[in-house]
Amino acid sequence: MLKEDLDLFSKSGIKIPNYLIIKPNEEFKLFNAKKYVVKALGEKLLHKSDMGAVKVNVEREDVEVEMRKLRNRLGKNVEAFLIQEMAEKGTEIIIGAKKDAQFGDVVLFGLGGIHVELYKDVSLRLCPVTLDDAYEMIDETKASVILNGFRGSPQIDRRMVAQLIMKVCQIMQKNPDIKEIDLNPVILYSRGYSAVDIRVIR
Amino acid sequence: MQWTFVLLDKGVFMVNKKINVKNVMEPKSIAVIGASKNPSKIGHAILKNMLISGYIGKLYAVNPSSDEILGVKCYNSILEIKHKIDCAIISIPAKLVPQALEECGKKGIKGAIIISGGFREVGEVELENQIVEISEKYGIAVIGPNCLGIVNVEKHLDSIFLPTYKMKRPQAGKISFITQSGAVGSTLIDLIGESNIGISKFISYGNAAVLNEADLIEYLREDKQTEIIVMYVEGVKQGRRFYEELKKTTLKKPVILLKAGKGTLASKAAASHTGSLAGDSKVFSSMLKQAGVIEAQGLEELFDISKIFLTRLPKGKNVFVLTNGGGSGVLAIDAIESYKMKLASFDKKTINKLKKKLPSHVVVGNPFDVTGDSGNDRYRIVLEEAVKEPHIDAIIVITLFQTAGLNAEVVHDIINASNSTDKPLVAVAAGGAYTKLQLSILESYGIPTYESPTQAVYVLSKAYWYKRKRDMNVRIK
Repeated sequence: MLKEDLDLFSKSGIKIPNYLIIKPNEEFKLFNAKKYVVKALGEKLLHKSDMGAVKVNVEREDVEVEMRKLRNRLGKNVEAFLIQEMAEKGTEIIIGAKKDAQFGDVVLFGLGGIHVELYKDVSLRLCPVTLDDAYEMIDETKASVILNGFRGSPQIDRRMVAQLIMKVCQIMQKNPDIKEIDLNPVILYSRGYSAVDIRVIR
Repeated sequence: MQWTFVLLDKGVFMVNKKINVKNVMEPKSIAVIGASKNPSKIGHAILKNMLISGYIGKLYAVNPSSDEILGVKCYNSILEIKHKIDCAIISIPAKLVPQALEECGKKGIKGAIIISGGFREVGEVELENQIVEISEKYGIAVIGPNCLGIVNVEKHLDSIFLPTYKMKRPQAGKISFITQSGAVGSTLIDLIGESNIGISKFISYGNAAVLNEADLIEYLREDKQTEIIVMYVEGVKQGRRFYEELKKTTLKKPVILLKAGKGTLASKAAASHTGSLAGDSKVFSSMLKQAGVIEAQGLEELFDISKIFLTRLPKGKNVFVLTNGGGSGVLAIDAIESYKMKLASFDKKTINKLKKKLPSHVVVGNPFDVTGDSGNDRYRIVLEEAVKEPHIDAIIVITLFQTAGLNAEVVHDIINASNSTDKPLVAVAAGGAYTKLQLSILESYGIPTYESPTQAVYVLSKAYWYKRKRDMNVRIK
């Protein structure tokens, strides 16, 4: 299911880090990356980071060790592993979408981390959105300041972010069975971005 | 013609809604079903108000227990009336309404206003569904049930059951109202009746069994007399359609909306971040923004923002403030900053010209302070330049009418200035009876007036937002 979702997003032109999904005890050939993220997957492990089911910054030679450790600790709850290329640090945002009972597909944008969790500094629009709508969504939050390169954070291409918002809208509208989407976080760089965590609720 | 899905208890039906809102809003003949001799009855007040307002069409009364009420001949049943009737105003006990509506259908009446309460709002869902079915069967445009009715000032049509001595009625004007709540609607009408601002249509639509907010906004969009639409809603029936209708409407005229019941909508537990962050009220507000609708935060604001559209839209953000009191000027300037507008300035030539014409203690700048000893002449001199100045997009004129030097002539100078420019002009003054009189003269000439400079800047910023949004949406379209 996760694989389907990841494929759907990468086919729709959304950049996600290199990944591999493997069953416990399955043989695999690891792709090349500087550092890796190892996530234990399973129905009971929905809030992965809360349960310590995610290991970040893992060296190539430690990947299998970490997988074993996770399995020892979480036992049968582990149904599979997701090994991802570790994304570089950058500016974190959230882009999401949901089906609203009254108004249909709705898209959401906000800055990641404390901005969204504590201040709930997010903006919303009904799908589909125009490029102008998407710019307005960015400007409605504190993101407009931060994307401009506040205190050393890199300057981000606003058009790239706006287009990403539009793409998430399109995915939502083309797949009527999707109820909610979370891209949280999407890491932005001065050039490009990486959607490191994707959740889809059908 | 339009296809609609109707949810009844028996299932979902797709029906052909051949209804036309004009049958209710602009009828040439009206029958009051449930007209009464008893002055404390709603059916009496409706008939009386129709007579007082001088309705220009034919008027009939229906009540089996009377021969004549207030000089109007009374019929036993609507079917007894031989003449053609466009609209029925129904004010009888809820359980009798379906039969009365059925008779209206048989008679070929295509519009009905059901004033009576006692339907969905008290759990009588089946009774309300019967109304929907009858409306579909005969193609009757129905407003209500459980509503206050409508006012159409141009047609002298007033179906509101509140006596005119208790509640003033507004004169003819450009603003139209759509309100779900009768109580809020009557407060608004009363307030507007007191001011010098006119209205065109007033629609209290109650339970929206047949005609809902989307239908009504569609009607007002095409209505020639309506230039400004003001709405009060609690919930909407067809969310997506409402959004689409609003978006189309704001291309043509401004819509100002107050949504009630926002605080009580607690977001339900959601599985995703997006689900929990996108609560109902946040989605609603965002929808309004996207549609180019101005959302008011309270009744007072609804009224204040609506008024600004009586003057022209600002082409840009640059605001010029003219005052005879320093403090009020500074408050306006503070507000210009906090509402992200800009300070307008005269060019050097004009400044020199003004300096020559004015005493040396006048503070030339923005705010332009003609000071407390100013008569109307200084206002006139500055306004004559301000209306022409290309760097100025909007003018705020603050007048402390209380000063000894300022005479009432200044009101004419402000009106002349407003009439000679394509820029919006707003007046600010606060005070007792004397000041209030001057303000009401200004308002009767279409100049919006406010008691505080801060509020004046705020509403201008809203008008500018609307203008920008409209231009953007027109471009996309």
